[in-house]
Amino acid sequence: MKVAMLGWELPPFVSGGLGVHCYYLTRELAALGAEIDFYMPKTRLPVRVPWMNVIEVVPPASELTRTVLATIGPYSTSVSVTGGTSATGQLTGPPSGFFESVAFYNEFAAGLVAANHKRRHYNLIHGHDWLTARAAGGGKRETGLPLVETMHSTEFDRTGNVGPWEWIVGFEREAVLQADRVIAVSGMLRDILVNKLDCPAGKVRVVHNGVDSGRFWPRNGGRLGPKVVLFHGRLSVQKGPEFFLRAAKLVLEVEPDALFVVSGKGELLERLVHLSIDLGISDRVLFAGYVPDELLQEAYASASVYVMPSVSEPFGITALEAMASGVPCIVSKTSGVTEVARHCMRVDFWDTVAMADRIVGVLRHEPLRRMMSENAVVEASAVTWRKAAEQTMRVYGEIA
Amino acid sequence: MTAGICLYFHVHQPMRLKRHSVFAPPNGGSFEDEIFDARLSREYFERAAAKCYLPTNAALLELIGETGLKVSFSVSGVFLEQAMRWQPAVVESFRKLAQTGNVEFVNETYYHSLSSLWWDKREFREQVLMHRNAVESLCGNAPTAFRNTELLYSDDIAAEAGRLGLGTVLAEGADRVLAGRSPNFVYSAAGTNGKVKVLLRNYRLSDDLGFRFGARGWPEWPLTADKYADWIAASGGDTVNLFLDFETFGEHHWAESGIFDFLRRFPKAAGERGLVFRTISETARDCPSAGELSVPSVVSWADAERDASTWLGNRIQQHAFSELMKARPEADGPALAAHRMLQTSDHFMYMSTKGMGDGEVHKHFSPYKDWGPYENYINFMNSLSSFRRKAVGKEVLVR
Repeated sequence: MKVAMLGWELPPFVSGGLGVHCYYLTRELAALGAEIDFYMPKTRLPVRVPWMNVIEVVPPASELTRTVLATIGPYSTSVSVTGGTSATGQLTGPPSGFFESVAFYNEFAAGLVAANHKRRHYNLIHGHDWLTARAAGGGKRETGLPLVETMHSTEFDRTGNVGPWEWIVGFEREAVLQADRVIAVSGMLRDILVNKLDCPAGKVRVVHNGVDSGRFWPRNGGRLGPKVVLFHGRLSVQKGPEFFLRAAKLVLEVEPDALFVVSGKGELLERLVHLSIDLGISDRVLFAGYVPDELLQEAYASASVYVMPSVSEPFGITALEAMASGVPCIVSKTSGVTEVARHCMRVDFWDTVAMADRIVGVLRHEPLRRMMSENAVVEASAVTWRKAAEQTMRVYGEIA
Repeated sequence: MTAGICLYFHVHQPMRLKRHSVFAPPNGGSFEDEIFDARLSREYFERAAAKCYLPTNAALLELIGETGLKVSFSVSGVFLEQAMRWQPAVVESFRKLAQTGNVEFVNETYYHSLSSLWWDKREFREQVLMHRNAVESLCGNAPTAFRNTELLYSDDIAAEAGRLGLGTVLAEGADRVLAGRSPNFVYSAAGTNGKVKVLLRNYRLSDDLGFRFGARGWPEWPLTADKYADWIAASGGDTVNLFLDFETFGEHHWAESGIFDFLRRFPKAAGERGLVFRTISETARDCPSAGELSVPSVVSWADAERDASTWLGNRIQQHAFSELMKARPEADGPALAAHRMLQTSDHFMYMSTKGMGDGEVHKHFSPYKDWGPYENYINFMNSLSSFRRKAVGKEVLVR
């Protein structure tokens, strides 16, 4: 099975689940015998991945492309990328050059896939998310190869359904319509693809993400104290960090020595810092900034409880990482991870009272902590990337 | 001797806990109002009354008149309290059944509690005596047989029942208890010098009706009363003990499944095959003992394990139970009554984390569909903590 895969990023430079997903999925696909050419935009440092052929795409020099490409990523939203504004101050669209740059990159990548196909003889093309949709579609048209599109989230999820960019929604719709098979990372996302992007239900397959339990396992507590509550994710509307702080305010009323760690960066940072001051809890909230991979395990080890209050989370790999690390999890009901993880607690993302109540419950009751921790480790160890790769291979088999 | 059928129904409804957040502390009121959700419990009760209790009791009353059918019941004290509050007609319907003389009511713990599993048996004894009084005022006679919560049974529990003057105890005919013997005989409880008889549930035949009756994927579906009576007649022994959740009729299997038609035909179908119906005490009296039965560790009728693990199988269940029992008020009064309502086994079942198959069963009964075992534990502990605070505030002595 020879696959031309179109991605956007790989570790160590990842901005979220997409890069992690591509890294582990390709590793397991390769172990199952797939030969993968992985196309992605060139980054500052060379990417070395032994199990596949990484092709770093460098479009012909154009100042415009290079500067704009460097600022966009799979999680660019109308909030994070400053676009043009109308007279009323509303966002009207992408910044100048954004659209052109993405289109330019995709067009070039499509040509590259088609050219390489002549000597590599791919069996199929596999694209990820909206950013590579044009390249995937172009590649399909030029080569006649079947196309698989994996959708990790949609614009509706990333914006928390507030003002989705029609421009990106258009790409997403195009991605799912042009594909022969669409892989959704959860049943929850499948429903969104079908209901909001008009994707024919018959061609969608659900393949849940996994977690690398070789990287995450239970460790002894960190150095931050006995009652640490952890948030880890992009500081964006989608991830609901504001609800985390509002729950923190409540928890601190009854557990004044609890410590709340906010790990991650993003466009809401300033607002969140102000909020913690306004709530009068800034001395109990620690903004950790971007936590690199090697420190992430330390962060999980420090935590008594992990909270993922996402407004809309098609999967939520971090919850699985926390579980694999033996941390009791509280996740929003609107997250796909609950389809594979039952040993966590579920709350409505907006219900900060219930969220705080569960946090206090975990902090106060050692038997609960221990039991959730033990069960989480066992459960997470069964949710593997190998399983995801096997299911992906079956999807390949359906069309190639 | 003529082979018989011992038909016994278990009747119970717990008082459901309120959603009890640390951040929404109880606002005064009685112990009971603070912790238990009367509105929600009433909804459950009235639905079950309309679908099961009233129509089934009406059908049984007719069948007793027509065929001489005999049945036995255990009705928990918490059930009777709710019935008296919200559906006195249900109490009346049981009283009418009692008046026929063909219906036996057996003793259990008033609060359908796990008190038999606590090291100090005083609480257990008090609840059994409380329930004895409740049964007596319902049907006029003191009960002589005993069924423990969810058929929890062991040599110790049988001996304890014997000391309370109860000569017959029900138990699950679990394979490990029988070790190759048939459940269709009466046995003597080990260590009671033959004073306590044990009736064992025939779980295969009971579950055919209780679980499988409505299952369309089951090869024997649809199960007719005549086919079922054939199986019973062919099953051998002195007595086939069919112990069922009363809600088998109309709740677990809706009326549309044909369960009431089955019930109406069943006594005649059995009679045509020469089978007689006996109450629990009649069965214990008429059937000779087939030997001694020793059950050193606890059995029950729940889940595949058939032990206490449904309620006390994991760490949070054990923790919640021991924290609760340690907070038992010494003095009689509303605090003790609320405490005992917290002892009801259902609250602990909602905290069970058993695997998929059984897990589904627990989910089915949990009042809060969006909660799993961990949420139910936290809610229970929050309720208990309010209880404790209030009990101390009212200067009720807490052990």
